[in-house]
Amino acid sequence: MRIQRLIQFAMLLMASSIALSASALAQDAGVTNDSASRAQAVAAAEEEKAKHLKPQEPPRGERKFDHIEKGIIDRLFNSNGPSLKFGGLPTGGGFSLGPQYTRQDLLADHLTWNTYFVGSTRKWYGGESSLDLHDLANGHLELRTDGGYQNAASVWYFGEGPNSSKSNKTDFDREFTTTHFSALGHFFDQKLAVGYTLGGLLVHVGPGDLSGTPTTQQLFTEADTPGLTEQSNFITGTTTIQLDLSRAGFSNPEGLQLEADDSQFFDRSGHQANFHLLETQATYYLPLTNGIRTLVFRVRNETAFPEDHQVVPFYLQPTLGGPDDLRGYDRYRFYANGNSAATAEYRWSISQTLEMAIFGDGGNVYERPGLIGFRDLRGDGGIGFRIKNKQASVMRFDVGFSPEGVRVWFVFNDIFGKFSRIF
Amino acid sequence: MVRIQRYLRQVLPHLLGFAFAAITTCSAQQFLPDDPLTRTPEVGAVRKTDVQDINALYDFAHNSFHYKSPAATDSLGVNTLGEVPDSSWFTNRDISSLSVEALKTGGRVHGGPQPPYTVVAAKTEGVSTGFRLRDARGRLFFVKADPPSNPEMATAADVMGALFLYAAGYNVPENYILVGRREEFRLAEKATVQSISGKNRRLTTGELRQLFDRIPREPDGRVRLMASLSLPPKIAGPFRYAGVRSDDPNDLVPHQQRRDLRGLAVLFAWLNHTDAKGENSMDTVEGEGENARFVHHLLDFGDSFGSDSDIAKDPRHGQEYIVLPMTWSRMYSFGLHPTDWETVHYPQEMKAVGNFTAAAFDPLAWKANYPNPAFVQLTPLDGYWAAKRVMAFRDEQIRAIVEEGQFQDPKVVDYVTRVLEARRDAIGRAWFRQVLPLEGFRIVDDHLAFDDLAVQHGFASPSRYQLSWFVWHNEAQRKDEVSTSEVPALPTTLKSLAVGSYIGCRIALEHTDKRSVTIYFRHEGDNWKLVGISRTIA
Repeated sequence: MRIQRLIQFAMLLMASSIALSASALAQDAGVTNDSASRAQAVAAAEEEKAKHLKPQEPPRGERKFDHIEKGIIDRLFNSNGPSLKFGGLPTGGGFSLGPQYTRQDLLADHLTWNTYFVGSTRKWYGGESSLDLHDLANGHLELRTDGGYQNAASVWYFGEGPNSSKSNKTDFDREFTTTHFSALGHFFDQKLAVGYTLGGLLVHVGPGDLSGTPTTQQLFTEADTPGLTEQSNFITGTTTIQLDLSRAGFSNPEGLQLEADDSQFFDRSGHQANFHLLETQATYYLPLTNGIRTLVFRVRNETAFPEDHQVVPFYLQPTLGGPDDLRGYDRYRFYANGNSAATAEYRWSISQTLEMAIFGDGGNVYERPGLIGFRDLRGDGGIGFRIKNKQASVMRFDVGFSPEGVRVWFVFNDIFGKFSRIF
Repeated sequence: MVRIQRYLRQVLPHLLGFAFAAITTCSAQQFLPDDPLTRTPEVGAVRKTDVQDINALYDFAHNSFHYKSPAATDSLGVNTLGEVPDSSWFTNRDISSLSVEALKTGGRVHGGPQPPYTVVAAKTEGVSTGFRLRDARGRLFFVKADPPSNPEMATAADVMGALFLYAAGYNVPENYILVGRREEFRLAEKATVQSISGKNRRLTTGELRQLFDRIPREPDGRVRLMASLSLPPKIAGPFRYAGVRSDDPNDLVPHQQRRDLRGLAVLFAWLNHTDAKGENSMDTVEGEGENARFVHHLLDFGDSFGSDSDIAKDPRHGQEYIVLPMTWSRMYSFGLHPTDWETVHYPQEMKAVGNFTAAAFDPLAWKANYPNPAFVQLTPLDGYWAAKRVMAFRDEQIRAIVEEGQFQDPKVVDYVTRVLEARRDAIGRAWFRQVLPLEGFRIVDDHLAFDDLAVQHGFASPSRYQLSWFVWHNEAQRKDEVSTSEVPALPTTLKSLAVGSYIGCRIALEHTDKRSVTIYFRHEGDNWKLVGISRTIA
């Protein structure tokens, strides 16, 4: 029936247009009836269409897209209900994916409950459940509690210190079970954030499962790698201060961002691993040519301060190397109690959704705070692409070149993000 | 069967277009008694309507990645003079004769919101802070705020944009600057906000307070907002810049072929309104029963001028689409060779302006954020039509509308006015070169007179024209050449033609310029009536 109506309508339209053309031609040949006026001819076509009106519908492609969006995409990426979780594991885990359940509409949208479990292509897995009370005290206070488990089945370890050898590449299995209670206050128009997190950390370290790579336990001992055989459980306390003096730009933020985290580790297992870890970083975005190009500088330091006669277990030592600092080196290439890193990137816009960058990274690791300086510097350079939304990189593809070779990174984060905590 | 249906659906808009073309333009050289048409009849009553939605993501992706610009075709929906008749889309307002007061008022006939204001819902669409309120008279307004980084910028843009486009002939909502004390705003008992789950829930006083905390304040502590009066009375969703509404009997011309929609590309270029998507429009049904008609409105001008609503305008906007094909030269040049527009100076000291300039503005190359099906088919004739409307705004008229942005700093008014004047002139220069910009044709005392807009606006020096007169046999669509001369006097043989006869004249420049204008007159006894204009392009 529908087709018949469509055909009928098409035929009528063709007929009417031909008739109208004919009447237009004929009018000066003496046809001076009423229908020979332009207005009446248009009106006749309108009346013709009026007989065949049908409900307005989006084009076919859009209807299909709507169907896919509502039926598949919205379900997969549902921000309020069951969905798929991408990521959620520490760097090095590979592509990870898993089920997730989120409720953001609790307590009038002030409470978010999120639970997920993910597994990765490198057989790492983990999960977390969290409750986040946000926008409290007129947007000034955020409270959060979470509990999680991560099994990083093949974390690389090359030995401690700046002279660790690339050929000593081993892997270990790192299991962290964590819980946190945190409070974060936002002040001065959200520019300053100050918070404290009280946490618990249960650790288990075992042999890694990477085939063809010796396990850390095979090459190293407890003597040179504290924590390898005797793992501790910790109470942790982290103080966070973030000062964001930047403002929104066209491709990147503009201005200065500062962050300092100090984490205290109280060893509850009697393995003499009491220490605190101070992490600081400053990032400065300098816009050029109306913000279409940007120079970005970041300096970062992470130093662990063990108490007297105490050690920092290797699995909690700061590391250098990988997509977020020394991009010409392997992930977790350098372990030590302290490291410094500096990065400079020149970014230029190809389009509003694509940016390129050339970069240089430098950094070193040192065994104790007194050795901070420029000795044993490692450096690299490279080039990258960033898929952008307005302000941030959604995806980046970096190629880093260093004396240790070429490393290619395809990651879903911004290199100049906040500190990510694994404990 | 499905394929046939699909095929017919694809074909139908073209058939409609063909029908209308046959009625209006294909017969441009064969004149009917009521030519030129000044108003589209729109006789069909709207029976039943559905609210149309546009999937924003699909629209962006389809037009950015998939849409192939068809070869530009002639515009439809124009009369035999090449002008757009009045319709539910467009009204020919005589810009140059509009008083300053009329321009400042625009379509704002109901007056701005009156305190106290009752907030009935928080805005969840778009990027800027906003809510809905009812004023003391119970009228519903959609309210938006400026970003803290650029007070006055987006609210002024929304008001100025609406006034300029109204004067230019389009339907727009009534947008007002609302400056009020915080205590004048109350929360309705049943005020709602859309929860993340998509369901409506109560809006709390705390949330309203937070919302107001984000709104920039005037020096005296009052909040400044843009209040847009809700469109009356029945909403039918946005219109698309392609195809026709299948539930509108009067919508015969595929939108991508409407001159008034194509011409918006030039008006939007002038105002730097880059968010030129179907979603920023609204169809309403006005009237009841046999008088029910669709009316087509443009909406949301917060990203015009130097504003991008929540931030100053990205310098790339207006210059290039958001999604570009791979630009190898930009990749391997490391960005070391910036283009002109990348290095222009913006008035950083005037935050209310945002990023608005006439420097590096190329009217012929201006772009919306992503390809608009009507804009990509813009022809020189469409551009010329729209440029005439832009050029009709005099300096004092521009200033009058800019003043309605209610900027605190008079320097901002000066600056925005100057930039608009410069962009207007750039548009005139560019589009008046595309055709021979002759207008105002009349035969007075047996002499042809007309105005050269390029000369009138100082873009060109006076030229000598060659006039080729002919008799036009309307029924046979044939012309008989009479004479050619530089003298504007009507040839003697034409003077003696009978009433109802047609004559024509082709006007060209003397040198080797491809541009020409052919005009047609009908002898109506005591005068010669201009009934047709056709132009060739450069």
